[in-house]
Amino acid sequence: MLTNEQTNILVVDDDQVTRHMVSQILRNSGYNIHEAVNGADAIKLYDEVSPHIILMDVMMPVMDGYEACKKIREKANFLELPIIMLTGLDDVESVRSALDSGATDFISKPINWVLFEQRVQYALNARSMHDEINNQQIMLTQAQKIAKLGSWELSLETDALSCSQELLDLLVLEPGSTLRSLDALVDFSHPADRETVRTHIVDAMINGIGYKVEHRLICKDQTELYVVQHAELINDRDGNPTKIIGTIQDITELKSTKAIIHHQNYYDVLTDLPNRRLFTEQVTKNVVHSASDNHSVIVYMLTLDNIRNLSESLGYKATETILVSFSTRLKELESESIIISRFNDNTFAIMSNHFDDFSHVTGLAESVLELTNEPFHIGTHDIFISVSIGISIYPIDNNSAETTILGAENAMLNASKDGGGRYLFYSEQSNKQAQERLEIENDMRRGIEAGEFIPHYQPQIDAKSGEITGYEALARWEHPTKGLIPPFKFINIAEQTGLIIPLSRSLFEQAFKQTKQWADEGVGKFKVGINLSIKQFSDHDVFSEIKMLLQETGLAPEQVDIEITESMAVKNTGEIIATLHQFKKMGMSISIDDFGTGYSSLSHIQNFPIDKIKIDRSFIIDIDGPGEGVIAKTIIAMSSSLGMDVIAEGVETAEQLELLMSHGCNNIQGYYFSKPLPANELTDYVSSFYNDTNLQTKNS
Amino acid sequence: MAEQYPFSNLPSVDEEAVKPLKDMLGDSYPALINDYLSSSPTKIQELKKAINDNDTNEVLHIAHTLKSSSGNFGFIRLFKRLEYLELQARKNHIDNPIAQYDLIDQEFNHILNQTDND
Repeated sequence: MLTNEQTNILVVDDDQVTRHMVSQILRNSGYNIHEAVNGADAIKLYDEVSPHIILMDVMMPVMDGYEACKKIREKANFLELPIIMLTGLDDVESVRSALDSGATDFISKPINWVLFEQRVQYALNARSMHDEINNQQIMLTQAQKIAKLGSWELSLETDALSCSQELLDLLVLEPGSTLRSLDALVDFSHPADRETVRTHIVDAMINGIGYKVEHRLICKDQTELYVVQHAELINDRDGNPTKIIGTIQDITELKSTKAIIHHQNYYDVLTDLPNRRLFTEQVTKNVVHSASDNHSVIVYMLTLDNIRNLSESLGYKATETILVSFSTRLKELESESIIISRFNDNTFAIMSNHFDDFSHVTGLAESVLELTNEPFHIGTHDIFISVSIGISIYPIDNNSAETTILGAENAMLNASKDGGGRYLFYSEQSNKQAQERLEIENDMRRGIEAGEFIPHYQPQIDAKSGEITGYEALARWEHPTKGLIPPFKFINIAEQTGLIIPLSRSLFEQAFKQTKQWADEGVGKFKVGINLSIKQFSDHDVFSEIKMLLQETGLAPEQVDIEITESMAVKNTGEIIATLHQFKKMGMSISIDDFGTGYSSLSHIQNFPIDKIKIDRSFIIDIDGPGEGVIAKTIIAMSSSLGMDVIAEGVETAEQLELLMSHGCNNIQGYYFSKPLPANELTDYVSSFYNDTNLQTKNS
Repeated sequence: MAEQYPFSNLPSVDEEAVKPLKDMLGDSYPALINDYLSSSPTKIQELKKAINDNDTNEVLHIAHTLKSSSGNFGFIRLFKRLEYLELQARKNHIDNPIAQYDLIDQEFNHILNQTDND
């Protein structure tokens, strides 16, 4: 607030005596006084001295007080500058004229000197308060502009909305436009955030408490802003809410700065891969989660062999080029279940939470090793660099995120010894299992070439007619030292390593030859069921291969039944359906194996050209148990309604056979009739089967 | 006259108004009252001329000015007499202007005498 000495007062009166009296009284109180003798003089002095208040007589020559007041009001508004009219005319008309011309107040003559100075002081105080409020408003407006803060106010009585200019500016609305309802404001929220914003507002109205919500706005010019919205309810004296006051602050820059800072903190500058910090956090998070969903966390640490020596000879730029190139190759392995990181200078890391068995773990390690099969290009040089990998598995090898990472680092250092280019597990036990797996894989390769994998044939019987209709060809490994090895011990490895393709080819060829031979020899014209794996559909032209095998062996396509699993039917649908149609067109039939285990829907199965459904053995075991074979019965009924054949697998007892037949399933495969048999035994089985059947027929 | 100009019962000076004025003006009071007393006779003469000339506008202006300064010094009876004259001049109808002037002149002389006695 101004002191009296800083306050300029303009006294305007044509009567010198009155003017001097008023001036002297105010001067005695320390004010700065300027005097004018008429209205015109007053306007001139106003421009020169910028008075803080004007005391003006009404009746003056040249220009009266009303006219002068009007003219001054064109320069300074009512609140900025008080003008007090000194008037001897205290009738209502004169007072109205004074106020109409823009006077703030009037003092009647003769002047009441006791109150005079107080009236002047009061007007000056009001002006100061206005100045202060005005300054605060200017500051607030500036601050709001700097803070990108807009505000709104909603009357709960009328639903009328008023918005600050800053908010309208934030929304890039044209000058002069406004928002009349809260809905109109909410409509500027990003469509995905709109419901959240609305819910906050409704909750605030119901619960009577404010809210804070971060959301996006789509401005009039389609710019997207991140904002934080605060709102408070204002209550009347009785505590009833009367309005909501809200602010909306643009935090887009803050958000993007935060995102940049986050990226800088969590990603490697050179390769843009997650850095050590993010990797460690992710491993820790997965280790914590693994307790609840019981999965393993596998950490791989990777180092490029001799990269330090290379750096010394070729310089750090060349090393950087190699690291970036290697990181690009690593990114090819990215999937939902793995995270790849540049852990430190020359070390990369991978975390995987996919662990079905050791084959998966070593499979990924082998894929990493293969990434260095191609050379790195440095200028005109092609440089071959191998990679050494250390693997540690939580909770098998270590019991915390930290020790799992440390374990992988230790294993990596061991792997890099003696030339590197290999992977090692942290624990001996894991190394042993990996070694065994590798041995099996190598043994399988040898076994396939040596023809140790042979088909065994499990007969399929039509129990109603008493006929052998065909058999399923099942893989067996006649190992020279380990004896007969069942498929569950090698099929997974075969699938993961791709060995399933040569293995299947060998089995199909043998089965086709044998089936053709039995047909030619009069043993019987049987249908041979062969199992196709998903790998054969995705990585391989299985149709061409089978077609060629049929040509080579001379077997009729009608004698082949293609078996796919229900789980395959769920995946990769389009490609599989197309291939199955090709088989069908050639005359082969299609069966769906293990039916009931793959969660496929009936409508989905209908898309497949299926001839026959094979009920999984797990539902046959149940058929005479407490569940009374509800699922098996349903599958039989469903197959019938779809016009498909049905065959039950894993039938072991006469009771199961009887129940299945009573429900209309006459095609049977299982130990009740026969286990899978080698070719030579099947010939005997066929002859004894028909002998027994004939005997039974004769006896009956 | 007493009925038409019912101001004879008013005191010449409103002491209650004058006292705070003297306090506020302090040392400046004598110079200002002198200013009033010395400048007013001219105005009274001008008023007389305007009345004689029947110049209502001039009467209005002089009465207004003289009224304000007289009133501000607390000369309440003179103020009222001038206010009455001003009002009639504003309506462009002055009753007994000479008589009114005489009373105004009388009152100013009374003030002069009183002030001299002070």
